[in-house]
Amino acid sequence: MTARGKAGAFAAGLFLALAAHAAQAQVQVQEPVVHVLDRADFVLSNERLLPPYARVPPPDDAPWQQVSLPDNWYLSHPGNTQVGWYRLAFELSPEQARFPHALYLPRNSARRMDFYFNGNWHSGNSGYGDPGARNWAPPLINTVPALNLKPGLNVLHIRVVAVPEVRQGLTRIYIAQGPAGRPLYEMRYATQITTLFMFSAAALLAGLLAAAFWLRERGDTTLPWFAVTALAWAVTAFPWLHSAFTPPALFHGPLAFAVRFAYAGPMLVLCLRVAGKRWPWTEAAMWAFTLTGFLLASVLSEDRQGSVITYWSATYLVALFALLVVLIRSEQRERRWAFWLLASALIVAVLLNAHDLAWWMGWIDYESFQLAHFHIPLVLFAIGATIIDRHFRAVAAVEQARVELEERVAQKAREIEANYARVQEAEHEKALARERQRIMADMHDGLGSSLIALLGAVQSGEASLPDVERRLHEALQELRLAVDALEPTDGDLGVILGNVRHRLRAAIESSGVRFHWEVGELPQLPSLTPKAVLAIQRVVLEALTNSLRHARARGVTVRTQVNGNWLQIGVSDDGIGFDEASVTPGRGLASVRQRARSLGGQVDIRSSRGAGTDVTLRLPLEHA
Amino acid sequence: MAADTAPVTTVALVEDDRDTRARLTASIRAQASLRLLAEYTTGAETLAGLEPGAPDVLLVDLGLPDISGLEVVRFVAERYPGCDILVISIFGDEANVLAALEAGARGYLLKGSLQHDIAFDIQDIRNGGSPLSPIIARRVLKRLQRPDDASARKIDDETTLTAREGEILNTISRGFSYAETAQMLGISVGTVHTFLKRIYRKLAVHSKTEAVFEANRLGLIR
Repeated sequence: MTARGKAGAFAAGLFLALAAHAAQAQVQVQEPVVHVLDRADFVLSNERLLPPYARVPPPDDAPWQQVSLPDNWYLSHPGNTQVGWYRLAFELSPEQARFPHALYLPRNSARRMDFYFNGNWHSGNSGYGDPGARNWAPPLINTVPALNLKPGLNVLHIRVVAVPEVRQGLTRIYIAQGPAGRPLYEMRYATQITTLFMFSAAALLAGLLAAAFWLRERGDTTLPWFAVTALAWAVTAFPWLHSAFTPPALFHGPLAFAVRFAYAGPMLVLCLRVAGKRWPWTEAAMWAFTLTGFLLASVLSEDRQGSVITYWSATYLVALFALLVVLIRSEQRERRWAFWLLASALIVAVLLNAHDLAWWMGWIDYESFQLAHFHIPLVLFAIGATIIDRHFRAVAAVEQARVELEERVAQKAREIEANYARVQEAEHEKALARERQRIMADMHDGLGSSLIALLGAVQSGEASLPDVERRLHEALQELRLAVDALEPTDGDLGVILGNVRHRLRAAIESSGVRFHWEVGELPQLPSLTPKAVLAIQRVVLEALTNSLRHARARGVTVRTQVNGNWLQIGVSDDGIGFDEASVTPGRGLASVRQRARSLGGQVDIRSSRGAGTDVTLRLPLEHA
Repeated sequence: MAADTAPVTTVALVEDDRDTRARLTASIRAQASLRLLAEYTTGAETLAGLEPGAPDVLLVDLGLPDISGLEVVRFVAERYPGCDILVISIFGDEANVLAALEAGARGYLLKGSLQHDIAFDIQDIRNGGSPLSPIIARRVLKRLQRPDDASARKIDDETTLTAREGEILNTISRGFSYAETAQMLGISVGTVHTFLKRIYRKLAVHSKTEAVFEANRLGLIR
């Protein structure tokens, strides 16, 4: 069970504990009660028009008949409009007669009651004087001073004006010594009336809150009905909570009657909607039910309201039960704690209303508590909890949806990125393939023709073996560099030069020269094509090979230098050199120059006999 | 390490091409410091043949008829950590060489190498790894580089290069020899080898975490 479920169960448990405590209290306080009078003599009197001073108990020779209490006029005197007189007798010892006593009635349910002790008028109670009397039958307590009592037999006359139709009559009479009857009264009053104060105040607040929420969230279909139900209950019950709020007597009947209808219709509609049902016809029927109740209430006199209340109670009970069935059948897919809370509240509502209907029909003790009104706060609480649960589930769902959406957007972005990368890669591949094609053609011309020339030389027997080996090495070198040039180096000149040295490693080591490699950090030229890479490598290779093979040098230096927008790659040796003037530009030098030009650069070759050779390749760093 | 006294190194060879195999076995036999234990022609044969134990050095051709040479490398590197693996590659096959290094190989030799080179290469590998070509060094550098946006991913010393390691790779990629690199950075050649060993290990770890990352991305692991 969730924490919220526990809280709901706790509230329900508290409620049940209170009810149980109230019931138990009655038993506990039996002790100091001196007499519980459940037998009386009764006589009807046609005296309503008599002025108050003429209202005296009927003489002993009147046609008194024995009745037992409680006396529910609906059962014993249906349709009666006359005044009823009760005569009760009780013994007091001389000791007891010296103390004041309390007269306690669990239910003050008559239009008016007058009490006479030993023939003297003692007190009168108008049920309408007590604000709750009309709907919830508060208890009654009167203190009887010792002056009105006597040792031995005491006679109590009670004059009762009551309407049988609305189940008025007389309960048993409890005579208790001194303040002993007070706790009985307090407990009954707290259970029947004070709880109503609490419920009404809470309903008022909850109704206003729900209305405020609804103002912010007009689309909600349950909140307005929650507000209407709670406020209807609070507003119609309010006048009965304290005599200060009691409306003029003229409205007592209609208003008291209307309370029942005010909450019933909206609450049933509300429950249906919470259960996820929107049945326009059913809802319309409920509104008709409510409005009819209001109209009847304002038209019918009190004498005629009884049968309407009977039908109302039965209909409401059936409606509650039907609602319970609908709820249980509707929410089968997902039973959350809020569902069980609402179902429990409805079960309790059915039981409480059945109890009160049974009382109304006179099937159970007339002095029973009125319990039906307890179901309203219960059901409202359960519905409120359901609404809150839904609200937070919706908030969570929105959050979840937001997270999912974000995830999906991110996913899409990744896919687009990947697609873009793939397209880029494909473009790159295509460019590379074109370049490869070009280099292949180049190799076929260059490498192919030198191999063919070598083949011719071998076939004709012109070439010596070392010569063949050397030329084959050159061809292999050429092949390796061509393949290396295809490697994606992003125009990293350091790596391009490093690779030339790597390929020449064996030659350098076997030549025995002191090799100085002074290649610094070089800029990258991403726009460099494989063909340009190959061209650079060939120039450097050519220069290095010359120095290693022909110069008879002791030291060879490769040095790079960045000069403004130009990169200089220098290959120098301390070998024999050559006389620039005397050497006719050979094929090697010509091709080196041609390659440098194709790169947008140039080659400077400086040498003189005996002073070494210095080859410098100048490359523009900014490829236009 | 008594690299100079060079005790006999045992070697096994996996190569399906008969001519290449013949050339390689001849080269190995010509070296007194090497002893050829076995030659295999397929991956399956190799895995079965290595059952009793692996040689000091295993030469593996990447293009085998049955299973990929990379698989053989991965298996042997995992199973026999003491065995140094050299892959036999051809020109321009840097991508495969890098994959082999990631799989656990310690170096590579080119099919066109001269006979005496093999002894050097094997000696190199026993010393801590064969010379990285500038192109491969650059690739390794790229692969293990720390992302620019260091906060984006947790910096992982297991799979990214330290500044020193980056410096070493950068120098090698510009064509400098190990000795020159050591001199430039003011460290010994042995230290360069140590760094390279560590880089090789990171490469292997990186390839594993990258596989996991990739699998995650493709939703294979949940």
